Amino acid sequence: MNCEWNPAARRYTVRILAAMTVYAVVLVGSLTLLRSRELEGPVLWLVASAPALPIFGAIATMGAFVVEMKDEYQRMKLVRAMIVATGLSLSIFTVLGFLENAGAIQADALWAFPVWCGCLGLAQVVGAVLDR
Amino acid sequence: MKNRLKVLRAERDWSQADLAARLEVSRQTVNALETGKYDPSLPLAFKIARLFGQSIEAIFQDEA
Repeated sequence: MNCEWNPAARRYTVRILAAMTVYAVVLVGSLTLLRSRELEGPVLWLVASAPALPIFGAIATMGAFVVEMKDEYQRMKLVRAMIVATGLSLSIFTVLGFLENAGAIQADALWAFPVWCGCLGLAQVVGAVLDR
Repeated sequence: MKNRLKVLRAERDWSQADLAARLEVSRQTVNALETGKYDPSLPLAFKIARLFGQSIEAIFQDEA
């Protein structure tokens, strides 16, 4: 790491922590409302989808990190891992979609982002090993 | 793409970390450049050339 890499990484860490904190608060609030009240219509949609907003923030933070990284080699490696993660997670959810279509399983789209993040971690580890 | 980065760095008795600090990149990036695993962008190539006071062609040799 270097003096240009660190500020971007620091900003990324602060933003991700902020997004995840907001996510935890909004998720608890959303679930509490959904369980305690008989919500309907637009209010139901709003309350049920509210936890997605901080997730958008986390995704935007990842995008901002790529843009703010000054080290082009590190950026290339991250973008490469993101492309691999996107391909992997799309493949996984395509298979799950067909399995769900056949009634074999009940797939949950809520897992799309965590699965992508898992694939990103895997792609970074594999990339690091291959780059040795 | 072959390059003379390692030689130029050794001539100045710089470590990879020294060169990385001067180029404002990570040490891993310098290592990837020296071992030919990564070819720099034009802006980084110009920055390297300016640092060593040489032309880009004098540092990087196209293998094609």
